[in-house]
Amino acid sequence: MSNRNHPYLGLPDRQFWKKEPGIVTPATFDPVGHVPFTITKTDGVVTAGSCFAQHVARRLTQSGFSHMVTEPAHPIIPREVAARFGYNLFSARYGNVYTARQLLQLLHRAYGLFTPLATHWPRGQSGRVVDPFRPQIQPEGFISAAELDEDRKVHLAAVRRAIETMDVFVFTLGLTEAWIDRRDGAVFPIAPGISGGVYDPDLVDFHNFDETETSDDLLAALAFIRERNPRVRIILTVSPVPLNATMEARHVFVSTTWSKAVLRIAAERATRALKDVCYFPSYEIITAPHVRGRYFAEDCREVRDAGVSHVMRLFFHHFAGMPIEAGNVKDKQDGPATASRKADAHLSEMEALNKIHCDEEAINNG
Amino acid sequence: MSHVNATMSALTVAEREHFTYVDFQRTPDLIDAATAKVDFSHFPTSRPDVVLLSMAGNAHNVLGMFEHPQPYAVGHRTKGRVPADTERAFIPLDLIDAWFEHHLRSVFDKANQIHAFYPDLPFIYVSAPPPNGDEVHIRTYPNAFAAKLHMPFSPPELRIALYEAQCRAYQRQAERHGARFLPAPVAACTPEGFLDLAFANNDPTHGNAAYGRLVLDQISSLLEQVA
Repeated sequence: MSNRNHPYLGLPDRQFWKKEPGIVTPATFDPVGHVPFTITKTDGVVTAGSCFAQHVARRLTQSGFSHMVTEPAHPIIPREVAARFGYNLFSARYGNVYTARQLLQLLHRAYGLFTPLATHWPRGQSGRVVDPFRPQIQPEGFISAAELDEDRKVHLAAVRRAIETMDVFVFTLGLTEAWIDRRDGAVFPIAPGISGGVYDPDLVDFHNFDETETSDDLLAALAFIRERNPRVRIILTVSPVPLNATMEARHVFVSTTWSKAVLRIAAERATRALKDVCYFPSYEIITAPHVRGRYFAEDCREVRDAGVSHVMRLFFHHFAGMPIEAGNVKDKQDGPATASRKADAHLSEMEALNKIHCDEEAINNG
Repeated sequence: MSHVNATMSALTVAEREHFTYVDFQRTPDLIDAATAKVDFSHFPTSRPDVVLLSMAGNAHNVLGMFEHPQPYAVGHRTKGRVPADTERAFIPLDLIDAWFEHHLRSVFDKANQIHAFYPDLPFIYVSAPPPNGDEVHIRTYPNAFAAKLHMPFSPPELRIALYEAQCRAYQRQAERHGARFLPAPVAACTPEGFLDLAFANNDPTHGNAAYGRLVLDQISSLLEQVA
């Protein structure tokens, strides 16, 4: 029998590896801990970040939470068409915002504080263009730079609306590797030449943001948001999805661990530096040894639906007080883009009238 | 007068012998309601020389004859958007094109079946006439659209943009099958691209027999080129 006194005595079970129920029962693995605020179903939640954030957005909608969409497709556009054009995947049509610098520059662009020199990239030989900052937002780009300019105005206004009116901001940090315009420092989500644009080594540099740069950018972005929306609550997550490719001359998985470590540090620093900023460990839930790798698909990269469910069960449980089982909403193919969207009433009426019109004409000519 | 009827009504007696008309609107059981399959027993037993398709064609009017309660502008190659009014919601033009593809998918599915039924024949997709831009004419002959006359008409440039998008949808469908797309006859259009009233039927959307005559002339000269 021991009566030794030491600092670990009396600490909660979650601080001890052996006490984690998930070792025996992976589905019960819960690394979340205390969260500094809650979310209700009436809180407007804005999402941004890497592709994993799309899962969060979709599940929020499916679970009855208010995933704010400030850049919706027009009501005449069918939901599946809207989804193909990047509507409703996130709160505005920014596509994936992979790096903290990209987020910061998006905010600066939205408020007219930064106007990148790269306004459009050519796509093929047809005069079509893509937006360098969301090159995959439309399947075939835009018909011209003039059209893209119009769409960008709409888009950036939607970003401002989202920033100024949201109650909760969920940002998923995804990458540290990026391509930077050497002329003005503009950060592109993917290298020119992949989805439009022309790769010119004289114009762009590869850059791998380190923990200091990423922290500074993230803090600057969050401070910028807070200046415009002081009451916003912020949830940071790190995407568990490994890098698809690395420009570093090393194995992609080694680059992945470095990037994720940098992102994790930046998220941690932000939670320590700012009030009402919370780190939610979706990265840990998916990658923990407790779940035995079963949340990754056969390609060892994509996250399975079961993994997303585990993440979102805990999300809803800890932030909204929902019973664990209640947050177990099945993912649906139609997603947020499509949630309960009714056929446009005006179009439906016009179609019905047109049918009568044509039927009458057919009768008249019979 | 439907788009096909405008053409059929212009046929001379002699010409009429060379045409067989399969009416998708008025032939009972032509389309199986459950499977959407075309019943080809309604088609002529003799093999035609060419197949002319004039299917649907009023989608642009459904979309844009009257102003939507949430007015919108669409993307434009040089102007950026039409109309220029920035208070309107903005829809990139590719999204409008995608709307037509989506809206016309059942029409094109039937067309695909006809292509499959006549695999080696030349096909011509005959365009619907352009929109009638004369509000007085539409108010005078509103037909079923009388119920909507309290609503403002869409701006002219928007109506033309939507019609052009519809034409592109039919053109793409034709190209998928190596077929020809026959646009509306220029002589029947105003300089702005609307249907000239001289070629308008007494209703809001269709051409008249004079319009049909121009289409027949177009078809003749196209067939001469092909021959």
